[in-house]
Amino acid sequence: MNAETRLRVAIVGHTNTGKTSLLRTLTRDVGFGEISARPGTTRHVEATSLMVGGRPRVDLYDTPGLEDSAALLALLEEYRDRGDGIDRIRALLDSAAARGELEQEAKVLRQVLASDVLLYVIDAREPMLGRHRDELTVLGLAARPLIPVLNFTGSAESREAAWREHLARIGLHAVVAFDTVLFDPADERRLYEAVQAMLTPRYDLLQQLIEEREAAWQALQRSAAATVADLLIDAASAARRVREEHAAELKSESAWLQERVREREERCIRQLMELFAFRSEDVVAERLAIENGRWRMDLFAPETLRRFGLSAGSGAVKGAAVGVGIDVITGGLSLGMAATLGATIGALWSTVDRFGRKLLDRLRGYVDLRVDENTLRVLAARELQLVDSLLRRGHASLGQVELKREAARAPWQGADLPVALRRARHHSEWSTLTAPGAPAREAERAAALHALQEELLHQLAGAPRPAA
Amino acid sequence: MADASPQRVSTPFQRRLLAEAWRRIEESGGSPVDATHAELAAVAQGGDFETRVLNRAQGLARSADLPRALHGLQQAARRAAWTLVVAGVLIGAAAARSTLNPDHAGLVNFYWVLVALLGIHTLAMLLWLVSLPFSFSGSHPLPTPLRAPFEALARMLAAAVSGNMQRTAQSAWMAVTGSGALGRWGLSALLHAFWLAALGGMLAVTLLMLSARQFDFVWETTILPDEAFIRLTERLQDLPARLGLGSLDRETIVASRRAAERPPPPGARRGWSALLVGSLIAYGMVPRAALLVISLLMLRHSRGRYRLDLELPGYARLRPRLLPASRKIGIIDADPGAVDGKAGEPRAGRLPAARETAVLGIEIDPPGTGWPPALAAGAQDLGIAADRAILESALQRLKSLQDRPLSLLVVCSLAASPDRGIARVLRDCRAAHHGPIALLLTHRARTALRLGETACREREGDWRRIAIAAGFDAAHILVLDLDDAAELRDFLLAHDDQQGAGGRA
Repeated sequence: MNAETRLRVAIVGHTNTGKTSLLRTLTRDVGFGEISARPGTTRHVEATSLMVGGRPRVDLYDTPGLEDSAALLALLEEYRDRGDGIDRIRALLDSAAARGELEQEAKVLRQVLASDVLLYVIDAREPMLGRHRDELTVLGLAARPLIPVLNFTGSAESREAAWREHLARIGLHAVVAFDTVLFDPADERRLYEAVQAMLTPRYDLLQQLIEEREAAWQALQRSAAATVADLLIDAASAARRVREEHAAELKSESAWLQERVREREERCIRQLMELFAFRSEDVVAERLAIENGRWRMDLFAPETLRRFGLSAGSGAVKGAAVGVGIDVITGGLSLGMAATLGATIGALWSTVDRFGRKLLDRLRGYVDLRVDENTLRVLAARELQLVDSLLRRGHASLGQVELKREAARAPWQGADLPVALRRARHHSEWSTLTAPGAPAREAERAAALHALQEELLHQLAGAPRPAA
Repeated sequence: MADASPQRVSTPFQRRLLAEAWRRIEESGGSPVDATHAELAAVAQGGDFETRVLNRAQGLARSADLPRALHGLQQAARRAAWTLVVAGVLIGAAAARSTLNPDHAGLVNFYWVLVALLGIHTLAMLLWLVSLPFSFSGSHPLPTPLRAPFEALARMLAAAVSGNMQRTAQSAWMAVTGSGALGRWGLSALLHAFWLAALGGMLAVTLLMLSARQFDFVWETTILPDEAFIRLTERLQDLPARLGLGSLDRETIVASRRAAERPPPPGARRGWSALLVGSLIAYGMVPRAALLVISLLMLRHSRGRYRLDLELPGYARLRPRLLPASRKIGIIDADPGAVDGKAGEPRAGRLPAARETAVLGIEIDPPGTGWPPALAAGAQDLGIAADRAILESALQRLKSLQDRPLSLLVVCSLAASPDRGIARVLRDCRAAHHGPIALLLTHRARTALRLGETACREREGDWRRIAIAAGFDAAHILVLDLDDAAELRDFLLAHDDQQGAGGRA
């Protein structure tokens, strides 16, 4: 077999078992075909190709549902004298019925004969019925390797075990569970491995596909974590200088800062959606209470904090870090001492400059407004929840998703924020919110971002964190 | 000095710089004009993800003046570097001029001159050496005191550019060339170039002064033993001696100690001058030149190793578009156009009035409230047909009962999709029975949970449509969950009332 020959995979099954959903998930293309709960939504054969090594190598064919397998089987019985199964199917395809009432079934069979392997999609919530046996009998006549794919195995109604038993009794053992609603990359891998086992000549192609998908999955997780880390650094480092005794200014500046953080969060949601190739109007947002690309619950509302098991401090945005800044420079020395030190050690003028300005501001009655720590925890929690859902979500489902997760819990609860975020608190020039286009010191921000990215990956994996 | 090749041909580093600049422009909200075109071209050109990102940036660049802005910045940086070198020469010359002041020609303290010329240079070089290991571990390219002048220079450069595109290009350029290994070696190269120039200026002026003026170099001390200075001088001239500069013997050194009554020996002048020039070269220019070469080599190496941080959101978001998991082929066996029946109006169905009922289940699990369903007491149980064979025999039995006034109740699951296969089954049931016929759809709650309320209602409509098309009376299609005992009881109560009222009328 030529190395460049494409592998042809037909996706078949009864109507409404999620064939198009499976295809969308395998291709990561949310725009493929049309999906609804009504029968016969896909009425044509539509093809798409999986890219391996940057070239289309594995063609997938989405076929209409087999609806009337009983009639199909009865007709095939009539051609019993025409030869083997394939000849009988050919005879049927030439018949008048193939252009009439069995037109959709004929399309499926035509495609089956033109394919190397069949994925037979089963709704695992349904019992095994006569029509399933009829369909498998018809497909068996085509003498193509067939892999039953159990869809909706994550559902509470799933009868996966019963299906496996039934299928084993008719000689189908290479059964793969692949839930198109609750996506698991391990399922995808098992699916390709099953094809690999059936089609040994194409082992290398499929192995390359498996490896590329694995790498892409890792890259996706890392990028998602970096996207969230970018948001958190922007929010943590944002600072706004206001006059302490000026109540009106304090209020308006707080509102301004809050609005910037809200906008930034929306941008993060957009970036994540784009990253996962989801459209923002997709169901995933609906389920997670995201409306118009924005979480329905306001970031700064006290109940949002409570939902994540955090308590609202003295206000979501508060002037906090000024004191910290002074502690850092004086290191326990008196204020005057620090000022003298600053004046004498000329070589360190830049460092003193940074903190010195703060000191001066403090004396003039200025404070820095910053985003509260708990708000940062909420931001992290919400965006991690979104990433988690996006990672676990197939590109298909229309119906309800019950993401099985325990009560939302903000990360770093009852503990210090990660070092990277604590560092960000002292670098207002890192924030694209309050210091857009600030030059230099990019490497420091990048280093903090990558440290935080690793921390977020730990959080995503649910692994115990190393001590901060 | 900041950049090597002025040619139009872009190096891999310049291509990456361009991509980085585009990322910043796109993140700051400015969207490039024809990204779709550039992206399609990048996908067509193939390669790994980074190659595609670079090709995309190149494609975008054709329609914008970003490369020109970047090129301009490189030119400006080169000019700034040369300005720094010229300034270095002048500063060095001035330093040498003020040290070897012609007004004070005559007796000159050699060590005083040496420290004035090489002292700051040596301190700065030691500081650089000490800070180097820290700059590897930390993210600072250079310690604050070494970096500060360059940051001031960068601010000046930033103030000079105008326009959003230029500003973004500038910040991208600064971020890439000013941080990490590139920043470390770039700034180091600038630093060493400056000092080399300054030392060159010093050397030139020193040579000039030594040629045109007469200095009697002496050494002096108040509390140190003489021997210390003699030893120091001998050690000091070890290195210049290798360059052929520095051949003071012990006697000349001893004789050059400052003494009021006697000037140093005339032969010592050449020797001390040679040592001064030799020290400037051996302890100043040679190490600086070596460090400059090392820094430039490392800079070149770092440029070659510079890679885009493809995990950043600005690049990662391009991945699905530039490196798609799949490519659509399209529809290959089209739908010739479907014919749909009329959708049935949803309405409350009821059972047909009859003395006796036969019940037939199609592809359902036995309901939770038992089989046959209680709503047809004393019914003829035709069983549950899970496949074609059972259905055939059930229909045979039904045909044998046709002489009795019988109504048939077909029970189907709303969770099953109402396809042509099931439509055929309904048609067969209708054909096998002459009396009244009703369809009961069970599993509504389960279906609504699975599909959502809207899709569930849609499915109910589809079931009604195929049932009506199969010859069922719309009034005799009812939706009732046989798994729900309470719902069944309510229905039976209502049904009895209805039947009773019907009987009385």
